[in-house]
Amino acid sequence: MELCDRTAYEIVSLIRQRKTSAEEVLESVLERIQAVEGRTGSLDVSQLTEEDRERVHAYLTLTEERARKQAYEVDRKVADGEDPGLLAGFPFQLRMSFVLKGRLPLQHPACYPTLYHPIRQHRWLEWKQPVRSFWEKPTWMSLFLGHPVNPLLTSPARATPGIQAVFPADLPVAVPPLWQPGKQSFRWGLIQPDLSASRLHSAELWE
Amino acid sequence: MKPTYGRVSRYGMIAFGSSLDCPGPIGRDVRDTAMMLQVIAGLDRQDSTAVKTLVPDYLQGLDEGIRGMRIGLSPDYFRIAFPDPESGEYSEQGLPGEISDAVHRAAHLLAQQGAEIVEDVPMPNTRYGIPAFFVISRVEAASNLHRFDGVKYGYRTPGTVDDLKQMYKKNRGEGFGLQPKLRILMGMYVSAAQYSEQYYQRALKLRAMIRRDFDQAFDQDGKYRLDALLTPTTPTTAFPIEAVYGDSVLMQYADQLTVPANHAGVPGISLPGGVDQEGLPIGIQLLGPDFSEAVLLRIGRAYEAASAGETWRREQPAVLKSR
Repeated sequence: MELCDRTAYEIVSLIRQRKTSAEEVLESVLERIQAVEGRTGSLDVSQLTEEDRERVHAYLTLTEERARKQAYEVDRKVADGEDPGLLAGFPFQLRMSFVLKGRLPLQHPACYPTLYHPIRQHRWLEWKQPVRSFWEKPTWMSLFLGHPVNPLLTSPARATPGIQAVFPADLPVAVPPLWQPGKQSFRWGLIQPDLSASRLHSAELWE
Repeated sequence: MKPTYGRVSRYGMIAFGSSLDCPGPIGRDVRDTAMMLQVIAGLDRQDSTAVKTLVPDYLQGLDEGIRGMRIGLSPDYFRIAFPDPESGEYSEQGLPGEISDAVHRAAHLLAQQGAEIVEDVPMPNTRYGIPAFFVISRVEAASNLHRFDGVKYGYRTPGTVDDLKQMYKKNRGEGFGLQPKLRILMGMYVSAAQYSEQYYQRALKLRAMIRRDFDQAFDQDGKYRLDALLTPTTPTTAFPIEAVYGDSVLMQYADQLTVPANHAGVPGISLPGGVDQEGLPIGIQLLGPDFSEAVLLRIGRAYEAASAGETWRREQPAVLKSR
């Protein structure tokens, strides 16, 4: 019987009596995983091979290095006579979906530091870039009112001469929820248009 | 083991159905399971549903035996009742003989250890477990999986997008597989204002009925005064590797005997109870009243000790035999 076939109770007692070490137990478990584990499971299961039928597909993530560090730490504690804790030294697995400390999922932006910049890639997030809203197609409303412009993002400096929207003096302009300033943000609301330079609307702005 | 809802914190889990999710230990034997539960149980500030009730020493009374305990058997756990998709009328199908035999064998062993076996405990609402689970878990999954919008949480599409809506669509469209999508769609459907009364509200009522079954069975002033209920864990043994979900009625109702514990929030433990003709393991399940983990572990330990000499305990998985 190998170490990894023993119960946690036995393993923990052996470690405490220093008949074995946490590192030995861990290596025994890793060896068994090596021996029986097949390829990692995925959503895209292609044709099953003969090997797939014989082997176990249990792990998505194996944190070997971290386990080794922890096993070393447990052995140190036992050697120093400290109390390592009830299950100390016993390697364990998490079944189902758990968040793992210090691990990023493969799709996480930080895994693509050069290819991918979460802010730059999305124009809507970029500061001082106009946003094409769901009003981007000209409608009968934009004929009269012009496109709604993010009041946060327009400034006289940016406003270049172009086609000027015609704002009837007293008609309110509806602005999509996300881009309303201050306390009104995230709500539909009405703001009074002004005819200052910040309300200029140019074709260039919508590139 | 599935502990009482709230006994173990859900912090760190990817939420699916928040009122059903319950983390628990899986161990090589009952003592290992008790040790693991000892470590993970208790209050956690990160989960508001984790309870303050003190964690007892699960290892202390483990070997004290089960003399005088009342363990119930319910006929409703030995048959699968399922509705006809067209007419909605319920038909019944008995469990395979090997599985019910394994449970009866376990009951016999427990009786030999001094437990009192109470037969014919009615659990009439067990049959509604799966339909209610389908509705409640889908609604909660749809709500929980909302957060994977790729903005603050979850997968973000590496491609370029034009606007916010398209980004959400791409993040979710690429990040979720088929099964989560099906669950979200169904969850949104059955919780929509015009359907909620018909589906979600009804499922919640069924859930209360399932809970009442347990309350009556475990009521210490009631008729049955059970300490635990002994049932099979699943209506079949494991499916073959390429089997398709829905191939048979028993497969669709694979969870029918375990979901009642999730609906009611009561603890349960599944123990190996033998093997079938093909050598596949059979599970027996013990369900108990709230916070009775220590009792369930004790019964489990007594059963384990009583059946320690049986030949099926020495069976090895095929993957190890071939080495």
